[in-house]
Amino acid sequence: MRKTHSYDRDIVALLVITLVTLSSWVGFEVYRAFTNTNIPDVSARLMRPLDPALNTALLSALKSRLP
Amino acid sequence: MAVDYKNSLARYRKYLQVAGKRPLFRATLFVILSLLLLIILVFFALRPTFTTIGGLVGDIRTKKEILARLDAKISNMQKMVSTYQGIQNEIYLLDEALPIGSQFSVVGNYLQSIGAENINLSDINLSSGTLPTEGLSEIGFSLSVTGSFSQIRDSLSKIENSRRLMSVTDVLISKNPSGILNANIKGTAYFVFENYEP
Repeated sequence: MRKTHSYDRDIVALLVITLVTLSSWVGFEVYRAFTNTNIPDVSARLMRPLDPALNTALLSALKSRLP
Repeated sequence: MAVDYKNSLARYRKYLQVAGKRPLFRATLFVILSLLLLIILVFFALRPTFTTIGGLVGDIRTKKEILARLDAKISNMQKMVSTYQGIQNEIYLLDEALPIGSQFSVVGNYLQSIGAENINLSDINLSSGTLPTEGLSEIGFSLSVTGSFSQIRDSLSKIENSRRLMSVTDVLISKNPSGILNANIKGTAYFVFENYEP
């Protein structure tokens, strides 16, 4: 009777550990799916920010130089 | 009313003996089945569902970021277009300052024009060296100027103040036996190739 008792307790412990491991695995997999997106790479040139300020003073400076 | 500790303790001990003899498998059968069901549920149902949801949320987040950046870029481009329309007539100045292609002749003509003003100009050398095939590039030049100090200084000033971007890299001034100054000037003129990207 004592043997059965110990055996059943082991099964419960094993199942609990399995569940915890499985939950961790699922958690990490979800995190990986969240971070690794399947969007095709947008080229870095396209994503490069554009500064809208044009240095128009430069043109004035160039105009004053010798042609 | 006095509590009968001895009697209570005896009954509890008896209960423990009975409970200890009961098969744990029967007692924990539902717990084991519940855990098994939960494991199956997590593996076959929750895992793919949450993974899909996580992936889709990540995709949406990334796409939103890209969209925001592209929107900002479009907005900036619209501002640039309006600014560009205002200065469109002066863009030729940029082409003159930093032309596409070497345009040796422009540099040569400019250096010759320096010599047209009462100074003796000789030995203009233009050298491309090993030209790269892309990006910002440069032409080296050297010239020899003979004249007074102020004339040499004016020549240097004209080179540095030319609309075509040029820089003086080396100046060697010497005095010949007749007392006239001779300056050997070395410099660099710049240009870009069509595929130049800053």
